[in-house]
Amino acid sequence: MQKEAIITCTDLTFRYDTDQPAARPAVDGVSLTVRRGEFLVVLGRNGSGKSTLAKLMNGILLPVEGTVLVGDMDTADEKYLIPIRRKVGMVFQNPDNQLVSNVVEEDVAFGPENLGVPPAEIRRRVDEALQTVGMSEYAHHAPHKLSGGQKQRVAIAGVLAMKPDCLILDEATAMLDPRGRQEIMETITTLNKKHGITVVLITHHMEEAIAADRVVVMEKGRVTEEGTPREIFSHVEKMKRAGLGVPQVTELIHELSWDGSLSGRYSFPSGILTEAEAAEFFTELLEKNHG
Amino acid sequence: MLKDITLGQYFPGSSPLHRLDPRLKLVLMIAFVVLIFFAKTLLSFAYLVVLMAGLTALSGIRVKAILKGLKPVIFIAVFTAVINLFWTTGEVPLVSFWRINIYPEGIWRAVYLIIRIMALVTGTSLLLTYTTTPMDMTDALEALLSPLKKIRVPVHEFAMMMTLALRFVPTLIEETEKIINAQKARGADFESGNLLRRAKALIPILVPLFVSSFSRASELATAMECRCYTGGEGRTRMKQLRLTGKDWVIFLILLSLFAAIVLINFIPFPWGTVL
Ligand SMILES: Nc1ncnc2c1ncn2[C@@H]1O[C@H](COP(=O)(O)OP(=O)(O)O)[C@@H](O)[C@H]1O
Ligand SMILES: [Mg+2]
Repeated sequence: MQKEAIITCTDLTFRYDTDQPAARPAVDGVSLTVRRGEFLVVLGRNGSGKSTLAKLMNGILLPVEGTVLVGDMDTADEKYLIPIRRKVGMVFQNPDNQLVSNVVEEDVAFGPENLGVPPAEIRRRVDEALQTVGMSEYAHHAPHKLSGGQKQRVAIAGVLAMKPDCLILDEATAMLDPRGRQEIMETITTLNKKHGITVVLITHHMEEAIAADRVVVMEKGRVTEEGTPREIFSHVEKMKRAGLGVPQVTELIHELSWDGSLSGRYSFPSGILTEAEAAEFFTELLEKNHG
Repeated sequence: MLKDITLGQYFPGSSPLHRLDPRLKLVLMIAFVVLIFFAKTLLSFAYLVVLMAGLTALSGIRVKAILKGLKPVIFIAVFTAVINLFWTTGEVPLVSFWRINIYPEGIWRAVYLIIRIMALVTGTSLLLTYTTTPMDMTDALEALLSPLKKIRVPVHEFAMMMTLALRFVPTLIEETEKIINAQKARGADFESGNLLRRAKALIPILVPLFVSSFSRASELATAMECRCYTGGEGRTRMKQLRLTGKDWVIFLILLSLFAAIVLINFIPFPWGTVL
């Protein structure tokens, strides 16, 4: 049974420059449904319209054509703007440009304060949100003294304090070092699996897409591919043509299968995603041929 | 060098100064700034120095950090002091050479000015920025100015602008440093040449800083909208400001200590000039 839809985009088109209807729209006829509890990854090269799509999903931008529904609220209806933004939280690329206070806990409180939540309840939510992202001990610190990964976790806590249904991360890991990236990936995986928060992760790190329930590939404002990570990454050549790649392990197996001297003797499966899977495959291969 | 700018920096802590209600702190700061200009005699300036030391001790902030915060104003202080040294006339010159006479009055005046500027910076920082979180400061400002809302002054917006400006001081300093290093790596020279040349060398720093500030501002605005910010209307606060008896006690003690500056002027003292 399919879960209920949290965000429904129907024939969604958006252009920044409405004076030039001839120019290619930034988002071009996208129909996409985000379902409750899922972990959706959006892949696409720079300028493919990912950020525009994200901003359409919580009413920061309004559709030129088509509709966006959050639950059953239309983003074009001004009276739903605040409930929509509360339900669909957003974390951006640069942590420095989304934190509003010099003190971590005050920043986390900003969202609920805007929503008019009573003080005692805000206090509770802030403590809980900081706990969830593992930043409780930094509650009184200044954000500019934290690492990139920690800043982004504070930004995530700021969204969590609004009690959202869905969290959109627009390349939130792009400016982080590998460690920061891992911190964020662990945090959002927990949020998704343990707290049941729907995650839309926009990224161009292919490795981050492996954990997804579903992957969507965007190209020139359109959704060109959709499927499980395994399905998506089994089309290595297609992904490369879209200006993207595949996880390194997938690429390695793919290259091996194209090596004439090897592919004659062994059959290489497509869609191997992780080191563990690759290791298992090679062990099996060795056992079969030499053991 | 840029790292020394501590403007708008908050030092976390739980001293009596940290815990004092920000509205009272704001009032204290205004009183302090006004009263500083009433110091006239050597004794009252000496008292100012003691007062600053006392405030520092009360705040629990390390002396080193406070001295660091004074660095950027040293130039201004020394500059005004030197001008006063040469321009003040008195009765008997202490030294005279060529057409310059230096009078004891000038020396006192220079010393007074340095103390006054330093006290101004230290006092305002200690009372406000160092010990008050920007959000508290905003709340205090908003509370004190709220009568102006009746005549349609955008008090909340003004207060929010101030918070955000303070929030971005460290970020912009960091960025400036990055740009300077990038330009230096390409052979830019900021340390030699005359004043005009040095000022010109700043252009390649200021232009990218200016441009990036605009994109920062736009991103920040979007992020704030995403967090349901729609202005001051209907907004609650996690930390409610509440005045307690303890707040009033500390406030009155500090206020009397500040007011003593004026009284000390009346104590006769043989040394020093009267301003
Ligand atoms: N604020 C803007 N004004 C005008 N054009 C924009 C703006 N933001 C993005 N675009 C254009 O819209 C297209 C999609 O951009 P974007 O959604 O940011 O892509 P992505 O996030 O995938 O890199 C690009 O061609 C980009 O140049
Ligand atoms: Mg983008």
